[in-house]
Order: sequence, then structure tokens, then C-alpha cells
Amino acid sequence: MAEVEERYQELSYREQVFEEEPFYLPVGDEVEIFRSAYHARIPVILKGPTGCGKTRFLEHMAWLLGKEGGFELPLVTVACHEDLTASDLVGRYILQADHTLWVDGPLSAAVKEGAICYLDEVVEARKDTLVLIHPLADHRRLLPVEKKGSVIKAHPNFLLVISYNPGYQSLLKDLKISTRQRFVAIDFGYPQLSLETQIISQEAGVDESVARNLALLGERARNLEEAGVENGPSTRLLIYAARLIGQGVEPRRACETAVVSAVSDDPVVQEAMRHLVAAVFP
Amino acid sequence: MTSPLNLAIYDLSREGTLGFREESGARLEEAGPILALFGKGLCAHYLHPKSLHQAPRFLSNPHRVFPFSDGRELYLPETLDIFDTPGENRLVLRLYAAVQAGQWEWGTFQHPCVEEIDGLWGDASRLREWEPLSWIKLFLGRFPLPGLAGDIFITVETARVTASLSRAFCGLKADLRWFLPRLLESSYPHNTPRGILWDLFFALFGYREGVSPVDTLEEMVREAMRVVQPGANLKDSLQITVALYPILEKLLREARDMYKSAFQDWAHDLFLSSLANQGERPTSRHGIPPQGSSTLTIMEGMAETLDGLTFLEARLPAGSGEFLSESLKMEVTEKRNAAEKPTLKVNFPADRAHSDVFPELVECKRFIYPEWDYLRGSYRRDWVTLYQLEKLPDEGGKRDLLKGWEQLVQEVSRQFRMIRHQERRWRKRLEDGEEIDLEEALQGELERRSGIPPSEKTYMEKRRRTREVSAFLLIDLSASTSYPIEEGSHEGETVLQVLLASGAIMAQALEQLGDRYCLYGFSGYGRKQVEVLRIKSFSERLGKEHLERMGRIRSRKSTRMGAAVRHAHHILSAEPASLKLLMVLSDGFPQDCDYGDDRGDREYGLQDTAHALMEAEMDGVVPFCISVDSAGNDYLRRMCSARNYLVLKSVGDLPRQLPKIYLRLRDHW
Repeated sequence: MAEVEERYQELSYREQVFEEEPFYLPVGDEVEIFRSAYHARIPVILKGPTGCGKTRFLEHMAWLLGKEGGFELPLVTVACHEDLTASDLVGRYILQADHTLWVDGPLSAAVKEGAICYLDEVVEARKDTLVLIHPLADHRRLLPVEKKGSVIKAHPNFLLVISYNPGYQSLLKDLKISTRQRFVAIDFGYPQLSLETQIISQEAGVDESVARNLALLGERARNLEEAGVENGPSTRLLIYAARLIGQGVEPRRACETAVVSAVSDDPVVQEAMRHLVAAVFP
Repeated sequence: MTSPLNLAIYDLSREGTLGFREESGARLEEAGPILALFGKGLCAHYLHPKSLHQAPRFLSNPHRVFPFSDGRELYLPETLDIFDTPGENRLVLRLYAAVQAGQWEWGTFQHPCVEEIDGLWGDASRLREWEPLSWIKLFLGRFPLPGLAGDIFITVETARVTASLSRAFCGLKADLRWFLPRLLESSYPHNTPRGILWDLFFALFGYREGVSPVDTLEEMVREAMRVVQPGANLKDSLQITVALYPILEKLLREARDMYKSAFQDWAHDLFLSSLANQGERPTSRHGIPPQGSSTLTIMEGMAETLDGLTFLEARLPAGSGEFLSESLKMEVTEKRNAAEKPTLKVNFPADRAHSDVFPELVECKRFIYPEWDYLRGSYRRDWVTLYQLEKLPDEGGKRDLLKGWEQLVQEVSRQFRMIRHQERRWRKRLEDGEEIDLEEALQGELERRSGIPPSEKTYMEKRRRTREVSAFLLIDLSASTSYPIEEGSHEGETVLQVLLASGAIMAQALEQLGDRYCLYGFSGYGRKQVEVLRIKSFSERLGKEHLERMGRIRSRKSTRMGAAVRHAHHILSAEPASLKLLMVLSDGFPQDCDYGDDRGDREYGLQDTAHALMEAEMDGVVPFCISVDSAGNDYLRRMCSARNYLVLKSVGDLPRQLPKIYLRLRDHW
């Protein structure tokens, strides 16, 4: 039993603190911008395609800002979806045997503990749910708790960060102007070839030539985005391919599994991508 | 000079598919769209696949190692079944596509500023900016034998691009190592300029097995070797062309009797001479340039001029030819009339001149729409005139549209009627409602006892889930729909009959379901006369007269789809429904007489329609295109996202599939 318990770790929201530096290679001045926004307590939107490194960036910043400030800065992440209610974020009463008990939601926990609260893919959440964050995302920094009839004034270390991908999400789903204009925005794209090579090499532990070929494949396959492919391969997928190669899988087969099949179900697009793979890997 | 393998690649493309092995061979029809996408990935430019024999001889002939792209087309064998395995045949096609796409990547279509060359080599104003090879043609046209200069340039430039590809892509490098030696096997020995250029190409890659005179070849390799080194650019290829030209011309002159016809070919190359200023070229009888120092003098002058030129990145710029002239004229008119022209005009009285030509359009509503010009990267304002007709001027006789589909009509109507009743059912997991949802309440209690926050959604309610839907069915009435279908139980009926029958079946089913819908058809000829036929409006109930009207419709003219989509969008925008569906039924890609540079240019119409669909989507309309064209995937994937289109393999499947598609869209959105 003890052996089983050692194999996993269950952390509460407030315990998600990074003790070791999460690897992140800056593409531009995003680290400086985010640091400035944090010190000014201005909420941030991270915009960019899937798998381009938004979450990793935030993990890195939580570690960095905590280290620089000499305090623990947890990162509380909420994956938004269309059924996400205000109670899911703020908290709710639950029935006990003879009384009710208030249980904080992740947003309340982050506000109280002084964490970075990261609402991932925020446009997936219902608009009425998102309105909840308005008083938290402006100068007031207050979280209203309707069911308790109270408001929580945010801990000084608290910061709200949201992310979304303007590309693949439906044009019908967009942030309300009143929500959008409470944040400063940092745009993320896929890194350039040399940077992506370094990232793949570092993350997957493969040699530079393999990493460069995968970065080249990613760069060229993303050209297909204008030709009907909704999203080209993300850096994350390229890292997966690199890890498979690192495990001894033949490179073309690794790309077939991690990139070609993952990116599209269209046989023509898949075949075109197989040609790209063959152009890159002998 | 060529080799049996190269001839086989070309011969197969001319002799058809005799002996073609499906299991190992590749056909342009299937491989073309794939390789066009591959090329797009490789160089970020979409090249349209065409067969080798559609290429001008200047760009592609069996004496070349690879075809040369004009920047718009991708030349590929019609069929390729030379090697035993599909992988090997695919490899050759991949190389063909890669080398041509590579021309964009490595700057073949760069060009100097027009101001820099104007007056140097004739009138540069004749350059057509939209033609990527325009400047190269002007340059090569200045040689005494333009065809020979073209052969040299293409050989050298292809070598440069191939070497660059090989350095950048390890996989292509391996492909080249496999293919080039095979191409060289048993080369036909011909000591001609073309033979020497063939040998030169291989010599630049280290294959010295040719039969060319050693001295001449060595001299040429020395001159050209830098073109395969890293950093070589277009200017290097042009300078090497200038340097190699006198060597080959001298060889020709020494055997002038033998090459008399070749002289004629090279002097009067039709492809190059279109821009060349023939009068200024020093030629004599039989096209043979005069002897003496004139060639060297010309070459020295050209080399000197090349040294001073700055090359700019190539792009595919705005408009072209007649189309451009017309658009410029329009812009002038637009500016003059800007103050009095709204973007959209309704009930604009038809002008007299137009009514003389198209008298049937006088009484109908007229709308003006913009059009997206991808070449200019902007909209052409007030560009398209669309007439909404209540009836067609040349309707055919009465015809029973649903003959043979009676059983399907009954099935689909029954199915839609059932859906209407099913929609009145218990809705569970509600935060408030008529009754407690016992299942959820029990689950909640279990969760609570386990210490998990329970769900608050413990109520249920019986209410009809009415979707407020407005569906717009837009049917392609173009001339191409007049072809009969060749399979299935409705063999012999035209594509249009099946499209209309599908519309009629849908209409009957939607009447059962209670959704709002309308039926329109579209066609037209030219941007001044796009026709949209109103078959049934949103506010009408389906009646016998509507089905009769559909039965009388005959195939019309062209397919200016972008304008028709904008019109549908315009009508849908007045609908209050929460779900607005636009379903476009067509049999082919957007095409019209002036829908782009020329009638064969698919890109303009495709891009315009893509923009029209995107405009609708941004406005909350859900567009969905259904094509009965088996090649529909090639263009639909570029017009809309994968979830917004469907290609049916058989036209006859449409009536059965359309209701299913509608229900799927209705539920999904």
C-alpha cells in the first residue's frame, strides 16, 4: 500500500508551486512584459495556437517571479469548458451530516492564497460565467461570492491570467469587449526554426540534427494552414515525435504517429504531410 | 540528350494509361492535389498541378532533368508507373514537385526594379508583373538565340535550386541520390548543346559520365560550379548563363549545317519571344546570329548590367491583363461616383443599355456586392451586380421532379416528423425545474458522502427543445449541371434534376419539422449579371406551385459562387433565428468568364468564395458546402474548414444524405 502511495502525488491548488525551473526559451520580450504586468498587478491574456508554449511560459513565470520575490507563487490552472459555472470557479456549499460546508473553488483559493490563477481556453466558458471575473480583473481586485453574500479582496500576490487561441476557436466564440479590455495581451506564435530546434532538443533529449529536422517539418507543415489545415503541428507534437525517436522509433514512423495522424484526418492532407516528412527524414 | 528513364516519364504522359498498374503507379488526377499541397508546405506557394504535356516546351521537355515551373503551375507526369514499388514512383513525383516549389523558396522569381532596367533592354513597361517569369523572359529574349539562353538558364537555375533543396532537406537529398544515377543510366549520347547541358547538370552534382567533349564540359563546369555552392542566388544563375552562352553558341556555329533547325527553334522560341524585342536582336537568315564579336559584345554588356542590378523578392501582385485594365477603369469610375454609391443597392432601376442586352432582368431586384481579389489583397467595391429573379426567362416544360423519389420523400418526412415529437422530452440535469431528477439527486448524495462537491443540477423538466433555425438552401444552376449521371437508379437524369430533387425532398421534410427555410438557385454570366432565382422565400409555405417551379428549372450559365453566398448572407442577416444555416449544393468549383485572370484560373473564384463564406461565418451564419464533384475535396478544403463541407462520391446519394447532413448540423450547432 505504501509503495502505491509513493507513486503519485496529490496536490491541492495552493501546493502547485514550482521548486525547479520549468524549461522555457523566450521568443521575444514576453518575460519582461509579463514581469512588468505582474508587478503592476495587471491581468494578462496569453494568445496563441495550441501547443505553442503558453502554459509552459506561465509555469516558468510563476517559478521566476516567486524566486525573484522570495515567496511561493502557486499556479492554479482551470481548463474552461462550456458547462463551467460560477460555482465551479468560486465555490459552493456542500451538505455534511448535520450542517453545510463551504468549499472554495479554484478561483477563490487562488485569490485568497495569492496565486496566479490561469483560466485556460477561456472563450470556452459561458459569457455569464466570465462576467464574474470583471471586478477581479480591474482596479478593484475583488471576487464577489454571491452565495455567501460577501466579496474577497485579492491577496497582493494574486494575478489573473487567461488564455485563448484566436485561430481554431469558432468565430462565434469570442471574448466580450468588456472582458477583453481588462487585460494586457501577449501574443504567442510558434518559435522560429533555430529556437524550436533548441526547445525540441532540450525537451526530448534528442540530438540537434533530429531536433532541427523536426522543427523544419513543423515550419513547413504550418504553411498548410492557409490551405485548409486548421492547425499545423504544434511544438508539443514535435516534441512528442522527438521523444518517440528518442525511444528508438524510426523517424518517419514517429512523425506519422505524432504529427501526420494527429494534425489531420483528411487523406489528401495526410499524404501531403507524409511527403513533407519524407522530404525531411531520409 | 536524355535517357530512357526520362523518356519513359514523358512518353507515359503522352501515350495514356496502357498497362498502368494501379497498385504501384500514380496518376496526376490523384497525386496532383497531394503534391500541390506538399509544394505549398515546402515553399508557402500553391502551385496548380498540370500534366507535363500542358507545359510550354521551353519549361518542360524530355531533354531536361526536371520540369521548370512558371511560378503558378506544377508540372507532373500524367501517370507514373516506371518503378516497381509505389514508394519509388512517389519519390520521383515528390522530387518533381519539390524542385518546382523550390523555385519560389530560392528566389527564381525575384526581379529587379522596373526603373532599373527600363530602357536598358527595351521597353520594360511591357513586363507583366503578375507573371512570375516575365522578367526572366525579357532578359533571355535579349540573347541572339533566346531558346539556347533559356536552355542554359533553366539548366543552371534548376541545378541551383536542386542543390539548395538537397542541402536543406535530408530526405530530398537521399531521394536525389537515388534518382539521379538512375536517370543517368544509358543516356543517349548526343554531342549537342542540349546534350552538353544535360551532362553539365549531372557534372555539377559530381556525376561525370557524359559523352560531351571533355574540354568544353570542363570549361562549363568551371564557370557554373558556384551555382551549386551555398549562398548562390538568381543573379549567379543569370551571370553564368551569360558566361556559358558564347561557349555553346560557338559549338553550334561550328556545326551550323547540322543544327539548322535547332537554330530556328532557338531563335524563335515562341514562349520567350512574346516579350523580346525581336527587332533589336542581331539575327540573320535562318535565325543564325552574325559571326564576329557581336555576341561577345552583347554578353559583356549584359554581364555589366547584371552586376549593377538589385533583386527584389517576388510576389504574385494585383490583377492582370484585360482583367486589370478593367479593374483600373472601374476604380476611376468608383472614385468619381463614390459619394453617391452605397455598398449595397436594392431595387436599383436597371440602366437602359443593360436592359437591352438582358431584357428579362429589367423588372427584378438588383443588388450590388463587393468581391475579394486575392491578387490585390483587398475587396473590389461595388463589383458584382446580382439580380434576384422570381422566375427564369427560359423555363422548360413541366416535369415531375420527385418521380422515382416517392419512397424517400415518405421516409424522410416521417423521420423529421418524429424528430419534432421527440424534441418534447425530459431535459435532465437542470439547476431548477419541474421535478427532482432522482438519479442525479442520488448521485449527488453519494458524492456528498464521499466528500466530493456534489452537482447542483438535480432537477428535470419536460419542455420542447425548439431550435430557432433558419435554413438557406442555395442550389447551383450552372451549365455543368446539365450532364447526366451515369450510375444508380436515376441514371440518365441530369445533375441539376438530382440537385433540385434533393432540395424538394428537404423542403417537404422541413415542413414537417417546422424549421424556417428558403430555397434559392444561382447562376449568371459575368460580374454584371449574376442571377439568383428565388424558388421559395422564408415567409412562404411550401406549395404545389413551388415544386412546379423547381420542375421547370433548366441548367443556366456560370458559377459565380461568392456573390451568391453574399446574397444568401444578406437575406439570412434579416432572420432572427439563433441558428442560421447556409447550405450550398454544387457540382463544381466557382467559375465565371471574368472570375479571375482567365476562365481557367480557379484561384480567384476560390478565394472570393472562401471570403464570402468567412464573412457569413463571422456574422453568425453556419455555412456548409456540399459538392457532388468527386474532385471537390481539392478546392473545398481551401474554401472552408473541414467541418464545413462534404463531398459526395455519387450524385445519386445526395437526396438521401442531405436530410441527414441537415440534422447533424442542426444538432451540432
